[in-house]
Amino acid sequence: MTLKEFNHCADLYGGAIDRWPAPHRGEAMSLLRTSDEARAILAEAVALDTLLDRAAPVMAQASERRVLDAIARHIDGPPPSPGITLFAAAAPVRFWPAAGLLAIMAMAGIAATSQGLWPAQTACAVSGWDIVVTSGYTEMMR
Amino acid sequence: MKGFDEADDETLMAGTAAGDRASYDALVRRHLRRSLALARRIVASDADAEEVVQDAFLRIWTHADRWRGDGTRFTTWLYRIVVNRAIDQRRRRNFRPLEEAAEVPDPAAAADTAIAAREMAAAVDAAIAALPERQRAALSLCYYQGMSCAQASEVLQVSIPAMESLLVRARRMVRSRLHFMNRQKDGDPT
Repeated sequence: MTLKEFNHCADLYGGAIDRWPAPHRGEAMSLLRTSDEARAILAEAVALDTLLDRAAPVMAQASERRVLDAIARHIDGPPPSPGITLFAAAAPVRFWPAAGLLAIMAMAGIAATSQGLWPAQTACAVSGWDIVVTSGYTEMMR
Repeated sequence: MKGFDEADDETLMAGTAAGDRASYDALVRRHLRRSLALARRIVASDADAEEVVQDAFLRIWTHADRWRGDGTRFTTWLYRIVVNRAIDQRRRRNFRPLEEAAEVPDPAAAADTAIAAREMAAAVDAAIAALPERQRAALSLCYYQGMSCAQASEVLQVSIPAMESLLVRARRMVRSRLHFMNRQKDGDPT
Protein backbone atom coordinates (compact mmCIF):
# COMPACT_ATOMS: atom_id res chain seq x y z
CA MET A 1 0.00 0.00 0.00
CA THR A 2 1.39 3.39 -0.94
CA LEU A 3 1.13 6.41 1.28
CA LYS A 4 -1.36 7.91 -1.17
CA GLU A 5 -3.60 4.84 -0.92
CA PHE A 6 -3.29 4.93 2.85
CA ASN A 7 -4.34 8.58 2.87
CA HIS A 8 -7.33 7.80 0.65
CA CYS A 9 -8.47 5.02 2.99
CA ALA A 10 -8.08 7.29 6.02
CA ASP A 11 -10.26 9.89 4.32
CA LEU A 12 -12.78 7.32 3.22
CA TYR A 13 -13.13 5.10 6.28
CA GLY A 14 -11.79 7.27 9.10
CA GLY A 15 -9.15 6.63 11.71
CA ALA A 16 -10.34 3.26 13.02
CA ILE A 17 -8.47 0.70 10.95
CA ASP A 18 -10.79 -2.08 12.11
CA ARG A 19 -13.50 -0.34 10.06
CA TRP A 20 -11.40 -0.47 6.89
CA PRO A 21 -12.10 -3.27 4.43
CA ALA A 22 -10.27 -6.46 5.43
CA PRO A 23 -7.89 -6.56 2.42
CA HIS A 24 -6.49 -3.13 3.37
CA ARG A 25 -6.05 -3.68 7.10
CA GLY A 26 -2.91 -5.82 7.00
CA GLU A 27 -1.14 -3.57 4.51
CA ALA A 28 -2.12 -0.50 6.50
CA MET A 29 -0.71 -1.97 9.71
CA SER A 30 2.55 -2.79 7.93
CA LEU A 31 2.84 0.73 6.61
CA LEU A 32 2.12 2.19 10.04
CA ARG A 33 5.06 0.27 11.50
CA THR A 34 7.47 1.83 9.03
CA SER A 35 6.14 5.25 8.11
CA ASP A 36 5.98 8.34 10.30
CA GLU A 37 3.87 10.02 7.64
CA ALA A 38 1.31 7.21 7.75
CA ARG A 39 1.12 7.54 11.53
CA ALA A 40 0.58 11.29 11.18
CA ILE A 41 -2.17 10.75 8.62
CA LEU A 42 -3.92 8.24 10.89
CA ALA A 43 -3.62 10.52 13.92
CA GLU A 44 -5.25 13.29 11.90
CA ALA A 45 -8.07 10.97 10.82
CA VAL A 46 -8.67 9.90 14.43
CA ALA A 47 -8.77 13.56 15.46
CA LEU A 48 -11.34 14.32 12.77
CA ASP A 49 -13.43 11.32 13.88
CA THR A 50 -13.42 12.67 17.41
CA LEU A 51 -14.57 16.08 16.21
CA LEU A 52 -17.30 14.56 14.05
CA ASP A 53 -18.50 12.57 17.07
CA ARG A 54 -18.89 15.80 19.01
CA ALA A 55 -21.10 17.18 16.28
CA ALA A 56 -23.42 14.19 16.09
CA PRO A 57 -26.91 15.66 15.78
CA VAL A 58 -29.12 14.96 18.77
CA MET A 59 -32.80 15.54 18.37
CA ALA A 60 -34.89 16.20 21.46
CA GLN A 61 -37.55 13.71 22.48
CA ALA A 62 -40.04 16.51 22.01
CA SER A 63 -39.22 16.44 18.30
CA GLU A 64 -39.99 12.74 18.13
CA ARG A 65 -43.27 13.28 20.02
CA ARG A 66 -44.31 16.08 17.66
CA VAL A 67 -43.65 13.97 14.58
CA LEU A 68 -45.51 10.96 16.02
CA ASP A 69 -48.49 13.15 16.90
CA ALA A 70 -48.52 14.81 13.48
CA ILE A 71 -48.41 11.45 11.71
CA ALA A 72 -51.26 10.14 13.86
CA ARG A 73 -53.31 13.27 13.15
CA HIS A 74 -52.82 12.87 9.41
CA ILE A 75 -53.67 9.20 9.32
CA ASP A 76 -56.40 9.02 11.98
CA GLY A 77 -57.97 12.44 11.42
CA PRO A 78 -61.33 12.75 9.66
CA PRO A 79 -60.95 12.33 5.91
CA PRO A 80 -61.51 15.63 4.12
CA SER A 81 -64.73 15.78 2.15
CA PRO A 82 -63.87 17.03 -1.36
CA GLY A 83 -67.31 18.59 -1.84
CA ILE A 84 -67.34 20.48 1.41
CA THR A 85 -63.74 21.57 1.03
CA LEU A 86 -64.36 22.83 -2.49
CA PHE A 87 -67.30 25.04 -1.53
CA ALA A 88 -66.00 26.07 1.85
CA ALA A 89 -62.68 27.15 0.44
CA ALA A 90 -63.62 28.45 -2.98
CA ALA A 91 -66.96 30.18 -2.37
CA PRO A 92 -65.73 33.13 -0.30
CA VAL A 93 -62.92 33.76 -2.72
CA ARG A 94 -65.05 33.63 -5.87
CA PHE A 95 -68.40 34.87 -4.65
CA TRP A 96 -67.66 37.93 -2.55
CA PRO A 97 -65.41 39.82 -4.97
CA ALA A 98 -67.93 39.29 -7.76
CA ALA A 99 -70.86 40.30 -5.53
CA GLY A 100 -69.01 43.39 -4.37
CA LEU A 101 -68.23 44.44 -7.93
CA LEU A 102 -71.86 44.01 -9.01
CA ALA A 103 -73.08 46.00 -6.01
CA ILE A 104 -70.68 48.85 -6.80
CA MET A 105 -71.79 48.88 -10.44
CA ALA A 106 -75.48 48.92 -9.43
CA MET A 107 -74.96 51.78 -6.99
CA ALA A 108 -73.02 53.75 -9.59
CA GLY A 109 -75.75 53.15 -12.19
CA ILE A 110 -78.54 54.26 -9.87
CA ALA A 111 -76.63 57.33 -8.81
CA ALA A 112 -75.79 58.32 -12.38
CA THR A 113 -79.37 57.85 -13.58
CA SER A 114 -80.91 59.74 -10.67
CA GLN A 115 -78.53 62.66 -11.25
CA GLY A 116 -79.42 62.73 -14.94
CA LEU A 117 -75.88 61.91 -15.96
CA TRP A 118 -76.98 58.75 -17.68
CA PRO A 119 -80.17 58.52 -19.82
CA ALA A 120 -82.89 56.13 -18.58
CA GLN A 121 -83.40 53.03 -20.64
CA THR A 122 -86.54 50.89 -20.85
CA ALA A 123 -87.24 47.70 -22.64
CA CYS A 124 -90.40 45.75 -23.37
CA ALA A 125 -91.15 42.65 -25.34
CA VAL A 126 -93.57 43.14 -28.14
CA SER A 127 -93.65 39.54 -29.14
CA GLY A 128 -91.85 36.40 -28.27
CA TRP A 129 -89.06 37.24 -30.67
CA ASP A 130 -88.83 41.02 -30.67
CA ILE A 131 -87.43 43.22 -28.02
CA VAL A 132 -87.87 46.96 -28.49
CA VAL A 133 -85.43 49.05 -26.61
CA THR A 134 -86.39 52.60 -25.91
CA SER A 135 -83.29 54.39 -24.96
CA GLY A 136 -82.65 57.91 -23.89
CA TYR A 137 -80.01 58.03 -26.60
CA THR A 138 -82.50 57.14 -29.38
CA GLU A 139 -84.97 59.67 -27.96
CA MET A 140 -82.29 62.32 -28.16
CA MET A 141 -81.41 61.28 -31.70
CA ARG A 142 -84.94 61.92 -32.86
CA MET B 1 -46.27 -12.92 12.99
CA LYS B 2 -43.52 -12.44 15.56
CA GLY B 3 -43.86 -9.64 18.09
CA PHE B 4 -43.41 -6.26 16.50
CA ASP B 5 -40.17 -5.62 18.36
CA GLU B 6 -38.61 -8.82 17.04
CA ALA B 7 -39.96 -8.59 13.50
CA ASP B 8 -37.49 -7.34 10.90
CA ASP B 9 -38.15 -4.19 8.88
CA GLU B 10 -39.15 -6.03 5.74
CA THR B 11 -41.79 -8.09 7.61
CA LEU B 12 -43.20 -4.95 9.18
CA MET B 13 -43.21 -3.24 5.80
CA ALA B 14 -45.13 -6.13 4.27
CA GLY B 15 -47.68 -5.71 7.08
CA THR B 16 -47.83 -1.97 6.40
CA ALA B 17 -48.44 -2.61 2.71
CA ALA B 18 -51.37 -4.80 3.75
CA GLY B 19 -52.78 -1.85 5.72
CA ASP B 20 -51.71 -3.05 9.16
CA ARG B 21 -51.38 0.09 11.25
CA ALA B 22 -49.59 -1.63 14.14
CA SER B 23 -46.78 -2.77 11.81
CA TYR B 24 -46.46 0.75 10.49
CA ASP B 25 -46.34 2.26 13.97
CA ALA B 26 -43.59 -0.18 14.94
CA LEU B 27 -41.56 0.85 11.89
CA VAL B 28 -41.99 4.54 12.64
CA ARG B 29 -40.96 4.14 16.28
CA ARG B 30 -37.93 2.08 15.29
CA HIS B 31 -36.55 4.51 12.71
CA LEU B 32 -37.83 7.90 13.82
CA ARG B 33 -34.79 9.04 15.82
CA ARG B 34 -32.21 8.14 13.18
CA SER B 35 -34.34 9.63 10.42
CA LEU B 36 -34.63 12.89 12.33
CA ALA B 37 -30.86 12.97 12.89
CA LEU B 38 -30.23 12.31 9.20
CA ALA B 39 -32.65 15.02 8.09
CA ARG B 40 -31.28 17.47 10.66
CA ARG B 41 -27.82 17.11 9.15
CA ILE B 42 -29.15 18.30 5.79
CA VAL B 43 -31.78 20.93 6.59
CA ALA B 44 -31.33 24.14 8.52
CA SER B 45 -33.52 23.64 11.60
CA ASP B 46 -35.16 21.11 13.90
CA ALA B 47 -38.58 22.19 12.65
CA ASP B 48 -37.59 21.53 9.03
CA ALA B 49 -36.20 18.13 9.99
CA GLU B 50 -39.48 17.26 11.72
CA GLU B 51 -41.45 18.30 8.65
CA VAL B 52 -39.22 16.26 6.34
CA VAL B 53 -39.44 13.11 8.46
CA GLN B 54 -43.18 13.44 9.01
CA ASP B 55 -43.64 13.79 5.27
CA ALA B 56 -41.37 10.82 4.57
CA PHE B 57 -43.23 8.49 6.92
CA LEU B 58 -46.59 9.62 5.60
CA ARG B 59 -45.38 8.83 2.08
CA ILE B 60 -44.41 5.39 3.26
CA TRP B 61 -47.91 4.83 4.65
CA THR B 62 -49.58 6.22 1.54
CA HIS B 63 -47.36 4.40 -0.95
CA ALA B 64 -46.73 1.23 1.01
CA ASP B 65 -48.21 -0.77 -1.85
CA ARG B 66 -45.20 0.28 -3.95
CA TRP B 67 -42.87 -1.53 -1.60
CA ARG B 68 -41.40 -4.59 -3.22
CA GLY B 69 -39.56 -7.02 -1.02
CA ASP B 70 -37.08 -7.66 -3.82
CA GLY B 71 -33.94 -7.52 -1.76
CA THR B 72 -33.91 -3.75 -1.23
CA ARG B 73 -33.55 -3.00 2.43
CA PHE B 74 -36.30 -0.96 4.00
CA THR B 75 -33.78 1.51 5.44
CA THR B 76 -32.37 2.14 1.96
CA TRP B 77 -35.85 3.10 0.78
CA LEU B 78 -36.61 5.16 3.88
CA TYR B 79 -33.33 7.06 3.91
CA ARG B 80 -33.60 7.74 0.19
CA ILE B 81 -36.97 9.39 0.78
CA VAL B 82 -35.65 11.33 3.79
CA VAL B 83 -32.52 12.55 1.96
CA ASN B 84 -34.44 13.58 -1.15
CA ARG B 85 -37.12 15.38 0.84
CA ALA B 86 -34.47 17.08 2.98
CA ILE B 87 -32.57 18.30 -0.08
CA ASP B 88 -35.84 19.55 -1.60
CA GLN B 89 -36.70 21.30 1.65
CA ARG B 90 -33.29 22.94 1.81
CA ARG B 91 -33.62 24.19 -1.76
CA ARG B 92 -37.11 25.53 -1.08
CA ARG B 93 -35.75 27.50 1.84
CA ASN B 94 -33.14 28.92 -0.53
CA PHE B 95 -30.43 27.84 1.83
CA ARG B 96 -27.02 28.79 0.47
CA PRO B 97 -23.99 26.98 1.85
CA LEU B 98 -21.55 29.73 0.98
CA GLU B 99 -23.55 32.30 2.89
CA GLU B 100 -23.86 29.99 5.82
CA ALA B 101 -20.14 29.34 5.68
CA ALA B 102 -19.59 33.03 6.24
CA GLU B 103 -21.45 32.68 9.55
CA VAL B 104 -18.99 30.21 11.03
CA PRO B 105 -18.36 31.22 14.63
CA ASP B 106 -15.11 33.10 14.92
CA PRO B 107 -12.71 30.93 16.90
CA ALA B 108 -10.55 33.99 17.58
CA ALA B 109 -13.13 34.94 20.19
CA ALA B 110 -11.89 32.06 22.27
CA ALA B 111 -8.22 32.58 21.48
CA ASP B 112 -7.20 33.28 25.03
CA THR B 113 -8.58 30.03 26.35
CA ALA B 114 -8.81 26.48 25.14
CA ILE B 115 -11.76 26.04 22.83
CA ALA B 116 -14.60 24.61 24.85
CA ALA B 117 -16.16 21.40 23.64
CA ARG B 118 -19.39 23.16 22.81
CA GLU B 119 -17.66 25.75 20.71
CA MET B 120 -15.69 23.09 18.90
CA ALA B 121 -18.87 21.14 18.20
CA ALA B 122 -20.41 24.33 16.83
CA ALA B 123 -17.37 24.84 14.62
CA VAL B 124 -17.64 21.29 13.28
CA ASP B 125 -21.37 21.81 12.76
CA ALA B 126 -20.63 24.93 10.75
CA ALA B 127 -17.95 23.18 8.70
CA ILE B 128 -20.40 20.37 7.87
CA ALA B 129 -23.17 22.86 7.13
CA ALA B 130 -20.91 24.54 4.59
CA LEU B 131 -20.57 21.33 2.57
CA PRO B 132 -22.50 20.88 -0.67
CA GLU B 133 -25.69 19.00 0.09
CA ARG B 134 -24.74 15.64 -1.43
CA GLN B 135 -21.40 15.59 0.37
CA ARG B 136 -23.25 16.35 3.57
CA ALA B 137 -25.72 13.56 2.89
CA ALA B 138 -22.82 11.19 2.20
CA LEU B 139 -21.13 12.09 5.47
CA SER B 140 -24.38 11.74 7.39
CA LEU B 141 -25.20 8.35 5.95
CA CYS B 142 -21.74 6.83 6.34
CA TYR B 143 -20.64 8.47 9.53
CA TYR B 144 -23.73 9.22 11.57
CA GLN B 145 -25.98 6.44 10.28
CA GLY B 146 -23.14 3.93 10.18
CA MET B 147 -23.92 2.76 6.64
CA SER B 148 -21.31 1.23 4.37
CA CYS B 149 -20.39 3.03 1.16
CA ALA B 150 -22.32 0.42 -0.81
CA GLN B 151 -25.52 0.95 1.23
CA ALA B 152 -25.18 4.72 1.13
CA SER B 153 -24.62 4.63 -2.63
CA GLU B 154 -28.00 2.90 -2.99
CA VAL B 155 -29.66 5.60 -0.92
CA LEU B 156 -28.15 8.41 -2.99
CA GLN B 157 -28.53 6.39 -6.18
CA VAL B 158 -24.93 6.84 -7.25
CA SER B 159 -22.16 4.37 -8.03
CA ILE B 160 -19.92 3.16 -5.22
CA PRO B 161 -16.87 5.05 -6.58
CA ALA B 162 -18.97 8.22 -6.81
CA MET B 163 -20.11 7.67 -3.23
CA GLU B 164 -16.52 7.19 -2.08
CA SER B 165 -15.53 10.36 -3.85
CA LEU B 166 -18.32 12.32 -2.14
CA LEU B 167 -17.24 11.00 1.24
CA VAL B 168 -13.53 11.66 0.74
CA ARG B 169 -14.19 15.19 -0.46
CA ALA B 170 -16.55 15.81 2.47
CA ARG B 171 -14.03 14.71 5.08
CA ARG B 172 -11.21 16.63 3.42
CA MET B 173 -13.27 19.78 3.21
CA VAL B 174 -14.34 19.59 6.86
CA ARG B 175 -10.75 18.96 7.93
CA SER B 176 -9.43 21.78 5.80
CA ARG B 177 -12.03 24.19 7.15
CA LEU B 178 -11.21 23.26 10.74
CA HIS B 179 -7.49 23.70 10.05
CA PHE B 180 -8.23 27.11 8.61
CA MET B 181 -10.17 28.06 11.71
CA ASN B 182 -7.40 26.82 13.98
CA ARG B 183 -4.86 28.86 12.05
CA GLN B 184 -7.07 31.91 12.47
CA LYS B 185 -7.26 31.21 16.17
CA ASP B 186 -3.50 30.96 16.41
CA GLY B 187 -3.16 34.27 14.59
CA ASP B 188 -1.60 32.79 11.48
CA PRO B 189 -2.83 34.92 8.56
CA THR B 190 -1.84 32.36 5.88
